[in-house]
Amino acid sequence: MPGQSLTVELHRVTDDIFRTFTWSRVGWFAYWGSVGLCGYGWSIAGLLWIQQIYSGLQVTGLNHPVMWGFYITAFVFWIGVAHSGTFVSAILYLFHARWRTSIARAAETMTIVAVMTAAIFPVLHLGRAWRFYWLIPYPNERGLWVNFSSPLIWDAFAVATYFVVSVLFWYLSLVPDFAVVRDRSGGRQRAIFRRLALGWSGTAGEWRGFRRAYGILAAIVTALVVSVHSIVSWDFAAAIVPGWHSTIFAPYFVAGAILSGLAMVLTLVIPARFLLGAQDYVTVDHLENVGKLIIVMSLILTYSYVMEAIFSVRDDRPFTRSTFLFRVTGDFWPLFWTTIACVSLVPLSLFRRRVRRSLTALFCISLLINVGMWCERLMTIVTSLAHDFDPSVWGTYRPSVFEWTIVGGSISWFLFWYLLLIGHIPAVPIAETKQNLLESHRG
Amino acid sequence: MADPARGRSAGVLAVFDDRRRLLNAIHTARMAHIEPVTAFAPAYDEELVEAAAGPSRTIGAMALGGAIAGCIAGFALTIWTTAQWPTLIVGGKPLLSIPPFVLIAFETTILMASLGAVAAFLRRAAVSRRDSPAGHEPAFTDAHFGLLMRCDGARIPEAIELVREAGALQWRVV
Repeated sequence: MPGQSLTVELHRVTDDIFRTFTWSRVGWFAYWGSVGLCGYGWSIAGLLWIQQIYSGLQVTGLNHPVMWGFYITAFVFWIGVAHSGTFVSAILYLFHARWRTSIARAAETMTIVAVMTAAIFPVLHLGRAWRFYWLIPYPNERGLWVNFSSPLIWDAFAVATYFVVSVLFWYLSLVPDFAVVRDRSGGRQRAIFRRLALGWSGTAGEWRGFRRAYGILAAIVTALVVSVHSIVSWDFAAAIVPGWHSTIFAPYFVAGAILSGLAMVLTLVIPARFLLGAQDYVTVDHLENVGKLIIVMSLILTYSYVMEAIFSVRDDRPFTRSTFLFRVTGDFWPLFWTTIACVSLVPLSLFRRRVRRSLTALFCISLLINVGMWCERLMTIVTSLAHDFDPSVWGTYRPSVFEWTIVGGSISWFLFWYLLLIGHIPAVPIAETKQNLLESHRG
Repeated sequence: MADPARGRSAGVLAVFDDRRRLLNAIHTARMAHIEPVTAFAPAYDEELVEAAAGPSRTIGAMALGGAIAGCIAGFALTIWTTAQWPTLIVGGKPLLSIPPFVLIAFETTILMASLGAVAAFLRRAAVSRRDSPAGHEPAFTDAHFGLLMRCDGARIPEAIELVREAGALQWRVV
């Protein structure tokens, strides 16, 4: 029968993807073991945070003139990582890049968890963390409202909006998939997914509404990708500090965010496709395409570095030049050269097709890019503060054990929630994969 | 005519394994003046949606409405709250400065537009389900297609014959 092959293929998609979140005994132990290990990791960091709250920020390496260090770096880094999820799922969706389907769910989930991780750090950095609610617009006892001209308030609004809209976008794409799980499961699982599926039955009207809402949200989220990291960059660019006060900062931060996020997608997806047995859906071709995007973003960043160097060296004022030379040769020179090596040079190897198609190479390169992007954020933040206008207040910064542990714990926190979420939802979008199948059958 | 929303026997639900046959069935039903209530599919299918779903402008309108409301709310919040401050000039800068408020208004615009779009989607999905209460089959979320047709009791045999000839795998009166 003519429709039978399509039906068989559609059914196979359901079967295959449904299998990604039903565990074998070994898989179950490996999964929950990893979740438990990550939980342990961030619990240690949590204990140190409690100690930091008790003792105050003196336990960190923060001191005059470097009052922003690891915590703000972590905030910028994780927000950056979050951006690529949106880039993969929303921007590539608008460009009808079908290959994005297989990694879209992993990327969107990464976005949500990365924002959850990033949002902790401004609170951590406050010192008196319990007063974070001062960021919410309400009048204090003197009748004064929050200062909307402050970049801190911009951040609060931008990050909160980004989180809410990302969750909506993620959840919307999951509704038809939840219905698939509901219709194939029983007992408690069915009861849970019945609620999550919101009564989805796959009518033509529902699909029309879904498509329209998803398209609108994709367009909206695309605007957010650009705006949120631009706002984060203005935390720095709005300050009159050499090395920060630059008009290039917004596009430079956005490009860096997308690069670090793409690298994180590879870091997560390459092991996950083996763990979940999704090799048929997340293929080497898909990962190669991510590699190609990494080349583009890396070249944009390299261009930004070169421009920054040229403008700094040719600047008539000594401050910017001095800060730039301090970055290259001063106390923090390893950060600068690690950044150049990992962000500008290592991704060039992806020009070779053989490297792009080697999963081991892609995984190693993605890790190196993540390290490079972390160093870039830290270098940008710390060197400008350590080497300001006035030589009499120049200083340095050494992160304490507290900062190392808490920032390390944030990786555990990120993986903990990522594993929990991706292990309990269809890791590859079922409905969208089927849609691609229908379109290819239709020709 | 019996009303499916009231749960009485008022139509036929047919299951297909081929979308082309389903599209033919919708076309034939319309020719025979039997109203297709809706079609079911395991994924978005443009042709099927065009054939079986009515037009929808609600979601776009709600998103636009949310965006306008969010923009107004963002500017209103920033300007009004700043106006509550005493005349306190810090660093020679005006308190009521529009450029930074644009950022807040932009974020509230985006937020409200998203909430509007999602609320409209949920409403549309609820309306769609209300119109086809007895329609769902688990096979529709897996690999099969479906057609729900409304007709009065006397025309049910005709409707069954129609879907049978169109190549439906199975059917039932709903």
